[in-house]
Amino acid sequence: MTRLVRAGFAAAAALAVLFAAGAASAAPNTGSIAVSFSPMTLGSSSSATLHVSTPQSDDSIAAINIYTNASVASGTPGTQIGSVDATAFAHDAGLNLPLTGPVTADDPSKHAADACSPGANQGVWVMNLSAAGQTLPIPIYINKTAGGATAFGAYNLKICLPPWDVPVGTPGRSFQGAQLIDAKLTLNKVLTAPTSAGLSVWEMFTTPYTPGKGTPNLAGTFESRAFVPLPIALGIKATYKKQTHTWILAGKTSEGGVPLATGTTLTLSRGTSPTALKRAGSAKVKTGGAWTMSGRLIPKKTTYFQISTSVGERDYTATGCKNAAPPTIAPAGCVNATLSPWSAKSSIVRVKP
Amino acid sequence: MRAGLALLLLLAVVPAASAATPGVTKTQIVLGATGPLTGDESLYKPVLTGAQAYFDYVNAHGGVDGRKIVYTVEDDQYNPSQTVTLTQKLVEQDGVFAIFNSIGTEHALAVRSYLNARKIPQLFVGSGAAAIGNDHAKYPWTLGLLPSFVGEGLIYGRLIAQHQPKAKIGVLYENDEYGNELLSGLKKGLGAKATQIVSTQSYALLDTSVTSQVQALRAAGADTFVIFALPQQAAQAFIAAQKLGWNPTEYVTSVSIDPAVMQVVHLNAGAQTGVGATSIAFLHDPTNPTQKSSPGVKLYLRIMKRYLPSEDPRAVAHMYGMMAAYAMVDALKHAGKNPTRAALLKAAQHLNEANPFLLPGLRLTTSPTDYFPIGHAYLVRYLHGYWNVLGKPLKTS
Repeated sequence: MTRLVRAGFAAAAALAVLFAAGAASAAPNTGSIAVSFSPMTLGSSSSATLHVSTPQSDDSIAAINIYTNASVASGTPGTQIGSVDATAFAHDAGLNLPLTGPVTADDPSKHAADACSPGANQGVWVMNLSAAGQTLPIPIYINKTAGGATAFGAYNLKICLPPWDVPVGTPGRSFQGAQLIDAKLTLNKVLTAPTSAGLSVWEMFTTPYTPGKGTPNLAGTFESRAFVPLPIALGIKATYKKQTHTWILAGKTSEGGVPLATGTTLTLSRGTSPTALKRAGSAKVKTGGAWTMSGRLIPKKTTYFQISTSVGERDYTATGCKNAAPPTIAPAGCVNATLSPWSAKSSIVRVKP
Repeated sequence: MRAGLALLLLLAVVPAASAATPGVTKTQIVLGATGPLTGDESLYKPVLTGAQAYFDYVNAHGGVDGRKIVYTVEDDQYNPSQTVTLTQKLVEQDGVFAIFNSIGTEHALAVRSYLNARKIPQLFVGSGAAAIGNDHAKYPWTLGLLPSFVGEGLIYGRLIAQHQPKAKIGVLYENDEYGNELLSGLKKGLGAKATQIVSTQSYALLDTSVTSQVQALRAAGADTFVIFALPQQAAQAFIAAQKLGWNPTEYVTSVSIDPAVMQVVHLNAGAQTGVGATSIAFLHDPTNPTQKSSPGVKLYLRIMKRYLPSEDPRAVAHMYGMMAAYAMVDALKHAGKNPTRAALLKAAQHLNEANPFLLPGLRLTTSPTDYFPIGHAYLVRYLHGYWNVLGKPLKTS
């Protein structure tokens, strides 16, 4: 497994200045980011999913800065580049609200005066979050990093949110005291996965507000990381023993060059046409990512086989935040790390009796 | 020759209506409205943006008799005192032809005397209050749009009396004209069975929770829960009932059947909450799969895509705004080539239209003595993820 190595302590020091002021948070904040591409291949660009989650118990969030080494395109202003599904907790009503809507690329010049990222931005995406006919546009500012920030990634995605925990009627308070607690963005053809194999990291720095004040608490800034293993490899090779009419399938599996976890379930599909495969059993991954399956070929016809599997978002905090990762510069520490969720299929192989 | 001169003289002293009528020129008609564009009540904004989108569509197709409709909307933040100031601005500074589709019953009542004194049409107020619909003799220039609140309550009362003769009824209602009129209609519809109302619990518009009221209704032994509440409180009521383990037969006012209400309910209390609830409906629902091929829904989605691409087409409030705007355009068309305010009022008092945004079989009809344009609605029941239209239209006024 290769790692994207960062040489960034000087840079980190520069960024640390950003976090050097403000009061400490009253309660420990957490929050996570998970990233996946579809397909999970090197240089994949068709679709990417960013899942950002902040527990309801967290302080009100002022700003989120995401750094990535994936290639980021701004998109053509006025076009839809994806969609967002989110949940917010409306404190005024005590209700969770489902929020959905398109993500559109916008003209950055329209946002030059935005307090969140004033001046010229390379690109701006807008999450048009709708609930009950009310649309809350939330811009995401995209910029290539410069100076010390390049240590964290080639691009920065920045989001600012209004406070929900200030008194009702305070100018700038979020609508209905809404607290964004979960957002899943599916983005099409604007993010390109790295072209070198390994585990790439997305770093998210979240700055909360000082509780009840509506002022950013820089000293409360915490980091969350998303590790993206690329590529996913589900190897498959078929052999056939004529004497016993037995097919044997075997292969090796890996994510980002590392064998899949022992015990991971692989689903086998088979059929007499490569376009009409049906589920026909399963196998478990063994040590080293290897797997094997066999069976009698009934009926004795040319048969096609394929394996597939999917894994959910995995907690990677113990490794990703601590042991093997570079130390965080966030004043409140690295609080969470995830390993990508993904689904993948092998190539289709043929057994001819 | 003399006749020709006389005609010229007449034309010289009697200016064309377009020159004399505020808000009407050869190229445009200016309409005004107030509503909450910002602030916590801005969830009603789609009523205004939906109307604007329909006007944009009409303007793109030539306008009304060649005139484009300019729709000036002022943000009153749902504050009646601001409604007064901003309506005065619309009339006295902007010189609007009419006030159309302003939001809020109290807000409409706050400017009704002012507008009627000046003979300025105040059309299609989003209210079914008796104060709007029944006071046409005193305030002829003010005409509502929603079905009568009393009439809606009457439908639920009759339905319960007929199908649940032994029901023990608990009612949650908003403590204002809206809620009180629905409750009065319910009692009227129940007739002698009104004594089976075991408890009524009210809430104030700014209350943040209705849980204690729902607890009280349950404690009173109600097995039928009638919810006369706005969307937020209606959602809270469904959720509170579920969390209390109370499973009554549920009825909810038509104001709260936007698909988003049940989305919120299900997110907070599970997918089975609210299933089987009964209400009435008069508008198409763009999320209802059985209505997808309706010309009204197709037109609605086309307009949303073209003129409101960043707003959520699932919100029925947009559909309501377009329905109101359709009625306004119809009235303007019938007000003549050089419309006056009096001619517009007369047209609005004689509507008889098949509005594409209404459910099939419903019409908008008015007369000088009938100021409830939507006189019928369908029963609907929430099953399979949407509000199913049942039976034939029922009279609401």
